[in-house]
Amino acid sequence: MALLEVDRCTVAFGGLIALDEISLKVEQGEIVGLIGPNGAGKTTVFNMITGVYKPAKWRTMTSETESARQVLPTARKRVHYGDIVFDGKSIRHLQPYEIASRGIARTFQNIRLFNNLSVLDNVRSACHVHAKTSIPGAILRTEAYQKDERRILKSAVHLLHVFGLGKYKDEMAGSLAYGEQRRLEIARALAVEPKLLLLDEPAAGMNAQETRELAELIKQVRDDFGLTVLVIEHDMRVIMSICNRIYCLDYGEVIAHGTPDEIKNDPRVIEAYLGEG
Amino acid sequence: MRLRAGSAVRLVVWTAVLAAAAMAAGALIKGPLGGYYFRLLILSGIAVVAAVSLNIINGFSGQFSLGHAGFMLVGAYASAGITLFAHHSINRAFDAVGLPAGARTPVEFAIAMIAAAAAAGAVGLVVGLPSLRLRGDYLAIATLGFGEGIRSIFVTVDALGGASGLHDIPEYTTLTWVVLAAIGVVMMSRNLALSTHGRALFAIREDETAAQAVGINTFKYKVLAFVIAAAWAGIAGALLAHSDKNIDPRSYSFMKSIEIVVMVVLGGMGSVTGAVIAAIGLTWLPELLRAAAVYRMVFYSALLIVMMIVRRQGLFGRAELSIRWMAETLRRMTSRALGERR
Repeated sequence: MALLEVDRCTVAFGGLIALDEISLKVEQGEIVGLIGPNGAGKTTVFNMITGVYKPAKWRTMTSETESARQVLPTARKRVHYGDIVFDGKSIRHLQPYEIASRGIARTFQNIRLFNNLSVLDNVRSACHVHAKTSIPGAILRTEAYQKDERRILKSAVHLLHVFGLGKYKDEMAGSLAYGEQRRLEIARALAVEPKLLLLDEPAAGMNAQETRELAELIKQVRDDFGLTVLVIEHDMRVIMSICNRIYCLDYGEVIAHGTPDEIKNDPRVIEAYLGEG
Repeated sequence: MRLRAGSAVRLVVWTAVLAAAAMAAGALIKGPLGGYYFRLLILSGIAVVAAVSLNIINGFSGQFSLGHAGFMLVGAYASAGITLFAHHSINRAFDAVGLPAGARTPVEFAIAMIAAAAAAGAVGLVVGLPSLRLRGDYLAIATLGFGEGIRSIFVTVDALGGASGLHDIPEYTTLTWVVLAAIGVVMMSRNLALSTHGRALFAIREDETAAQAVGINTFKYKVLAFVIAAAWAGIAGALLAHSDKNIDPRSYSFMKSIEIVVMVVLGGMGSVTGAVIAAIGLTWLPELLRAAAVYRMVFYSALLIVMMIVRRQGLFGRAELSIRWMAETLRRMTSRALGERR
């Protein structure tokens, strides 16, 4: 069974349909790309999966429900929300923090670090999900609390070293260089110990060298942490080199999906990007 | 919950030592200092409790509350309710358990303060649950409304004392109690700030969306900060009522809330040390400026304005005064001085 399965979800802002009955599947251990022109709804997919936006209700107009309506008048009111199933359970109703604690972590298109906290505390604050001590325990500094804090510190420092940020651990996150902020955001997401990592344009604003390193890092992180990755990216070199499968979105609809080679030669994808030839 | 034997013992010993020291200091300095300055000392201690607790909301979690005086008022009434109206029944209970005479007043006042904390905390929960769904300016307005509303209730409902407030409250507040409360709120803030729960609050202050994305239940933590701070404000109110010996609800107005906010901002939002220093400083400053007579408040405001221009992040920014911090600063200063000489 797929790790993440989005089944016919719609997201609407007022009358604007941002996502129109989107369906996608991500299998355990895959790196899946999400591409599409600007405004196609890629980030909206992330926001929907992480619970920031809830799928809207929509009415099925299939013949099946049409006939049901004739039998049961109440069936008229039957509306569907679609469903988002993660790790075998529906997460459609959950709050963003609950979804994070179920094991979906993300980064943001416009980096959202805790700028006035140290690099270390950025990562430590994301270890919160797995912290075990109660508030009275923390205030009284019980033995269990101190042990827990030592464990959090150790795993946070370890993560920073993996991402080459160990030497900056006491710097303010906001004072880091751009590329380092991007890496810190991924490190922070991993501190949640997710099963699925959502990366929103991780290579944006990076030069060719940094981009290559990032692509390697994503693959390495997938292997080392046993992750599954869903990545939005405009840089086709990154997408083509790391993704097992790709979904292409345009105007809130999936217009194509398949392997990098299939996507590269798909006429609909080419049309969406370059216009009719 | 198991305390490490060492830390439990340390906690008890330190509390006892500090209580004894405060008691001795109170007895020693009360005479030479005179009633006026001794009262200022008490008032600055109460200001510390109020400012450090507000810092948990405004400084740690980055929310903006303008209703702290309202929670103090709830605590003042709750505690005075115990010491005024439940005094006899409590004493009967003391008779029953055979509590020695010397321990009766402290125990009674402790009960009153716990009642104050519980009442203010409960009101904090009731106010926080709906209003913490708001952000920024909207939250500030909502808490302002609460502060003024609760005061109006006490002023208008005659059963609660009406406009004349409550009188003949026993003077239970001693320097010892004030010092203990101040140490309590400082220790609690500090330990909270160092823990995963404190980091959750800081994360909310920095970026609420990102905080949720790393699994922090932002609403729960905002309410929690609000309730903890309200409970301590209740204790500050109890101490004030039992030092004033009366409650005049009109003096717990919006201006008092602003005063506490100014302490937090001036000390540096999020800095416990800053809140302590600013609370003490701003209690003494208007009194020390009495020499300026009618221009006193002009000087006071001018000083605040200059302060905010020169050091916008507050006295301490987000730093805390600790031995390590002092050592680091000293090292940096000496190395800079040495560097300049070279």
